Amino acid sequence: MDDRTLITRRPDAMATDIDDATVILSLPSNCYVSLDAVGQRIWALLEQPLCLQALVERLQDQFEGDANAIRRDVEHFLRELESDGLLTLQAPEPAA
Amino acid sequence: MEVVSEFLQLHDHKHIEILSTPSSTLLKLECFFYPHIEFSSELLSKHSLPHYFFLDAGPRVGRFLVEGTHIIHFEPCAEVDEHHFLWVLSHHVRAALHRHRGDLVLHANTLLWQCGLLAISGSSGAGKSTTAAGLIQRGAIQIADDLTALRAGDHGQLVIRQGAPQLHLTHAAAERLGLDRGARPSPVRSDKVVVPLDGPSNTIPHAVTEPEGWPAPSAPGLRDLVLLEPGDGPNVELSRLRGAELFLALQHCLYGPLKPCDTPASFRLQALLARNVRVWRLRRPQTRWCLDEVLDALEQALAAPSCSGQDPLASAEPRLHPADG
Repeated sequence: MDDRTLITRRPDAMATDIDDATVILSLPSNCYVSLDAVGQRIWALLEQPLCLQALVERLQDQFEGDANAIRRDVEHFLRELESDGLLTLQAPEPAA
Repeated sequence: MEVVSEFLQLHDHKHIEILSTPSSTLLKLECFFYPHIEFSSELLSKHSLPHYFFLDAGPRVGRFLVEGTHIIHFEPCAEVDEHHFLWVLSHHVRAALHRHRGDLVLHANTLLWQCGLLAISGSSGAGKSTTAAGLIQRGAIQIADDLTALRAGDHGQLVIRQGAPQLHLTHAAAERLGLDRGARPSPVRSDKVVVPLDGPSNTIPHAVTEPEGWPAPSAPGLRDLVLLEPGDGPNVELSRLRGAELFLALQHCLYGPLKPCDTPASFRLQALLARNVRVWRLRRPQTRWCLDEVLDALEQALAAPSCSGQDPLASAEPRLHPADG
């Protein structure tokens, strides 16, 4: 995934906080997704669209761990949310 | 003519009318008992569209197509079993109408108990009605049997529509609880009977059905929801659910099936419920009669903080984000 990939929540994704969990309704796949603490943090950071690099940098500020491992886990998580219909991943325009 | 639920009356086996004033008309029924009526292919082709609900209720009833919030099409079979027909109408069909109106429908009995509203959910045979009957004997007042429809009130609380004054109990439970007088066989379950709560043989407390069915928007909301499950252990186990586990358990309480178009409204109300209602899981031994233990556990855990008339849970709005309106 390119650093400049733009990550945007789908506008029809509905979420609610229940105690220590966040539950999100995905209308495209008609399913519910539950997020743990790290997932909740990523979801909160994506309240406004972010590029992958900015997202990873903010997570590195908040969570300890190897930078490459964080990025790998984040990419995996984002692709899962994309396949659940909760966000879009927009690749950067190729250079002319 | 027989009154079978709070909103339906069967007249002369020809058509169904509504037991309410025009201003509160719940149903515009377009079904007639003329055997030659058949669903057209054009009508049937709509069943997969949003806000259409199709149900083949079997050879003793016929087929239903619920259209939107007010219309029910019905194609009768050759010989309609009246009680079975009315049961399907007041359960699956009514649930579909409520879902189309954006209400949340639970497979649950609801009671007014200790100054709060308590819903008891669980799959068929879990013991919902038996537990409800036991609570009634300890002073609870019946609100709804088997199907509980909820909507948001003025303060974010979930108000409950009053149901028919009846209880579906197993023969054994009805006999054991002394409620078998005046009971009639269930049209759908050979091991169950229907106990009327307002019959001449019973003086069982139940809410008086209002013409509108729904209470005032400022009425107290649901306070507790208990999910009944069979357990493997020797004892009754009651535990409070939270977070994702609560939400998952809630899915087992819904009177389905939810279609994608029903889901956003349902989600909003589920979020309200998850935030404003205490949700419990109660596991009971399957191998012995343990109703008193179940009731004792509920009485102890669900004790109301006060009976001042103020609903302590009728205040908080849910935090829904981002585009929930």
